[in-house]
Amino acid sequence: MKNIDTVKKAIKGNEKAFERLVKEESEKLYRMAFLYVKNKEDALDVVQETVYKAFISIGQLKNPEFFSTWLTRILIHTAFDLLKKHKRNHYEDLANDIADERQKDITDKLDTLEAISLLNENYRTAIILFYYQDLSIHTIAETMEKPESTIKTYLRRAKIELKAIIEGGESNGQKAY
Amino acid sequence: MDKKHIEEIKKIDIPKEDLLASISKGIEKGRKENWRKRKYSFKTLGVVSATAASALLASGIIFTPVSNVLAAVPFIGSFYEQHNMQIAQELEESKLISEVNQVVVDQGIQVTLSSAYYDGNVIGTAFMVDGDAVSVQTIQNAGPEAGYTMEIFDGVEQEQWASSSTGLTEAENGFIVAIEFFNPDAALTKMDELPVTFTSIAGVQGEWEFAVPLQQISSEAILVKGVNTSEHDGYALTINSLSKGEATTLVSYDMTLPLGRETDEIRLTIFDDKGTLLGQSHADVLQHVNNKETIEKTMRKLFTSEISDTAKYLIIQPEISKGKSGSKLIKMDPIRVDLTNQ
Repeated sequence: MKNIDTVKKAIKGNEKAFERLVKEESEKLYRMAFLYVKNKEDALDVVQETVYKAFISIGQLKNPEFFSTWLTRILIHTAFDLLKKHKRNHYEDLANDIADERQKDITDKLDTLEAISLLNENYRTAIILFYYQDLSIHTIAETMEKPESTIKTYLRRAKIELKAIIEGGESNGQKAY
Repeated sequence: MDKKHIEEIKKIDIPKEDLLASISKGIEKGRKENWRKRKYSFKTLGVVSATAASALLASGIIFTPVSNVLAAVPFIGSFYEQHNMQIAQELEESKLISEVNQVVVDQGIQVTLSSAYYDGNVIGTAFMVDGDAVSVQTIQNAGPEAGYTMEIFDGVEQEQWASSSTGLTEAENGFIVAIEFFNPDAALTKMDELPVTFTSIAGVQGEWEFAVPLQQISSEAILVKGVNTSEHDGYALTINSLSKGEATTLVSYDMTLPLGRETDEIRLTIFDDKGTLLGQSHADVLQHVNNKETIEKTMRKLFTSEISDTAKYLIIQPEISKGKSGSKLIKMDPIRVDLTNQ
């Protein structure tokens, strides 16, 4: 990792170093947050909260080389927290939308992103990290703190569910699991 | 599905300015949280003064080195980092912290003024403390929480400044304490030295007196050309001047609030064209006037970062904070300060 010295400085409490690192990751963080919450305002809130949590806890980061993984993990937890906190029942809202649309022509309206937001937390995160962040199975396993075999299972099952959702495998618009 | 989705994610638009603002807010929230955790002693006296802040500010005053204690340099550096002392960290990176070696022994306790700095209105000092009577136990039992009592200007009450301290902290060869003093005067007068006296350490009464020698360097005043006022629904902010120090920035401004809204405030966030945020310290009220319909405050705020030499302009983003909780923030129009052609 080329900026390992910067991470070490940030761990020791150097705010400038922290700010530099977070800015380097900012676009990735925003896009990832957007994939979860699907609107600009909430995505910005997720980034802000992630930066705050990282700022106050970076002193506890033991391995500087895992900074990016660690930050991604905080973002994922923060995104799910926000979705829960706002009681924005993403699944139900989308499911209702899908049910309505499906009566017209679901294939025209439902894109992959919407289908992903119907997956459960683990499947969704695995899919986002693998297909949208281009991370390896190994890195995803570290980020999600699960064995690699479990990540492979998540991905396999998530793809089956996505296929079912996109191809209209469910008639009532509910989640596929 | 396949990896073509990576291209799909790139289509998500990035609201760059909003994103930088979110990062700034996250850092600011974290900074406040960390400051709360710090051992903190704050005493403010005689802050209000009718004189507007002078554009020429005492900035970058450096202590005349008595002798170098080179071995202590890296140690002090990491101490500043551990205690999140931003001004000290920046000055250290610019090699503007003077190593001093003034030693005073009283009651069997040796106190050494080891390093010091002065930027803007902040004087920072670090002392090493060693003696048989000084231990974690005696510090905890004696009180106050910081582990010592002290005064500046020989204890003349009107001249005591606000200060922030790490408290006596155990180190490899004894104890160390870093203290920052904030000059409350609107017009910062030239100073040759700062008299500092410890009156008790770890419960032991005594007198450890230091005269910290100062050498003054003037800072760079930045003029605000063009629009320098932002207004919103009875609230107004006017930026009067900025002062670019070696590790700090001082902003002088006027704030107008509607009458009856004393607890409201206008908060400032400042970042440059590269999105670099200026760290925030505290604001002093230099003048407070209640008019028929408005409250006028003349303010000076210290930012614990210097303005980058390569920055082209600054964006000052004011936000109205209503109510004591300050949870509701209303964005006002930002003010742009050009740094080129100054």
